[in-house]
Amino acid sequence: MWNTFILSPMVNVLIWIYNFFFHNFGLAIIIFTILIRLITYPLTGQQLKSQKKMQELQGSKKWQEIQKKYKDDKEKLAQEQMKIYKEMGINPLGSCLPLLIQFPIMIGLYQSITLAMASAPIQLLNLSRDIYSFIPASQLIPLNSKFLWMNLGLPEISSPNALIIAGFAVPIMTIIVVVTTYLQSKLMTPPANPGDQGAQMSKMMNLYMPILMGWIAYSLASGLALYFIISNVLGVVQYAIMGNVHWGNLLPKRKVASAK
Amino acid sequence: MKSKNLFVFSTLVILSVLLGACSSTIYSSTGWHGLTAGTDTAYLAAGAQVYAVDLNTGSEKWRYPAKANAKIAFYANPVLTSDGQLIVPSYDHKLYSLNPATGSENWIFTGSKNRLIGSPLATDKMIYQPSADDHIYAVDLTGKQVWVQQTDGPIWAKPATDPNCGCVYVASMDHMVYSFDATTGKQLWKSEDLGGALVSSPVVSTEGILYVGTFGKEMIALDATNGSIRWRFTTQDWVWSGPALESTALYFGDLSGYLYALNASDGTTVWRIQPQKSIVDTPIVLGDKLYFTTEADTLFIVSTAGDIVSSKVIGGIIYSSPVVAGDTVLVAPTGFTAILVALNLDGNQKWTYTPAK
Repeated sequence: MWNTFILSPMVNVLIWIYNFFFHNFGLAIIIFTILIRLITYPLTGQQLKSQKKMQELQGSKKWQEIQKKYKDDKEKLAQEQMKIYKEMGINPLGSCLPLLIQFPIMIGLYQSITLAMASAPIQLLNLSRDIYSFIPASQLIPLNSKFLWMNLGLPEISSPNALIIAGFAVPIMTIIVVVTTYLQSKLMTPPANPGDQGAQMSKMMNLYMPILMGWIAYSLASGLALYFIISNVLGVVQYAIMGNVHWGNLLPKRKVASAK
Repeated sequence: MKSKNLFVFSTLVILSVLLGACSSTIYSSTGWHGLTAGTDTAYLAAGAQVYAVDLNTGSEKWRYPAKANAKIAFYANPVLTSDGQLIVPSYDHKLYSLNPATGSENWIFTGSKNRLIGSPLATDKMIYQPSADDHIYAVDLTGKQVWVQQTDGPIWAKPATDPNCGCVYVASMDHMVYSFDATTGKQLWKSEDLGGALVSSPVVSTEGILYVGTFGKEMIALDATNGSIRWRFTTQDWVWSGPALESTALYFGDLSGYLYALNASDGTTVWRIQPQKSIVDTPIVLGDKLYFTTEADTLFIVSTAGDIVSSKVIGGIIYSSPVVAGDTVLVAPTGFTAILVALNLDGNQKWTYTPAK
């Protein structure tokens, strides 16, 4: 099921792009990422809309009132919140669901990169069974996995041409992934409403997410790190087009002296 | 709030573990076991460790390294040299020389920049190790590099040689076969693009013909003196299996599960059968019988006339070529409790070996 509907189509599209664009797998990943972003554009748009509605709702007087009124009765509070969601036509999972849908895409992409790179016998054997008949596989395989200093099928530090300083391989792509993920989350986080509990959660996410993505980029195939970087940059561009980038988040915040 | 932070943190950790589960740094599912045998010992390259197993009893003699190391992965067929070394390539880019009697290290060659997936060719003077970094390394019997040559693609196939030419034939995944001077490494010739990657070891006949299977669904015969094509035979699917040459016949399988017998002189079909699933291994010819395995889980014994004599279900998935040592046939399944199964020449089981944890 997973192979038929996610992995095989992804691998074949990747190899098809590779065949058309100079037999360069790095370029194929970049074009493929743009394609994935275009396909998931409506989902991201929907996510953004839901996020905005939720933001407005949580800043409303009515919302604040029920929080206060039912602060000791969680069950009743949940019922009232659901009622408001219904009244305003908000799906509380609306901002979460598109994000969840992107996870299988990310896992599928990772698997399709390692499968297409086929840097070991069992992967190559599996690839031979996954390629559609209209793709001239026998002429294309093995795919050219060299891109810049990387071997896209291997972790960056295992690539034969990895940058070595003082005997240690420097994970340049990992550093760029961490920085771009951090910037992306900062730029996309809307300003918090007073007393907004979700803001604390976002703060934690902004901290943990770059570390998680950095670890994945460090330990898995460098082709995935390339995907993360392009995806992060495109994410910021997409949000900028929609007018939702919060550049102010990058500026250092002044502490406001509390009035006594 | 603390519990929410904990929730976010745990969710991210779980996600990273899930994605990490597919990590390419874990080699466990990337290759199949390599196997070779001496007079009384079988040597099995089975992932994190190399095992020496007594051929008579099936008991373990030694394992290397003593404690499994996740960064090392042995999958290529080990090779015994004429001066008594066991040469084992690894996915950690290193070539290990071990003492076959004790498993102790003689030397380690570290010149390769990528995985060593294919087996080396060992002569009485030199070891020729193919590498996924596109190079072929010629190393003397003390582990010192003598020469290195580059092709345009990864090399997974064990090189071949012909004692008369003083050369080494290298089949590369760049679709070409190369001939290099065995002593100096000078390129003697390079074939034309053969239409598909080459991963199986070529075979040379005494008449100076080189046979190689390709992912272009062909078995191709080349003139071993200049690399020109003598004949081409179209198969049903990719040819991963190396050909076995016996007298005037050439035996090999393809990924559709066909086993072919061709006339080696002109490439005409003598017979073909399709016993089961994909054939990846190189058949072994012993008298008038062929021994080969299929991906399904079975060892087949077929007469040189193309009749199935017997079949024995082993278990797991089998990609590795069987090895015949005296009157014992050894099979190394993958994804099965026993990693080595010994049978007599009729296919009846003698013993199995499962490594103790």
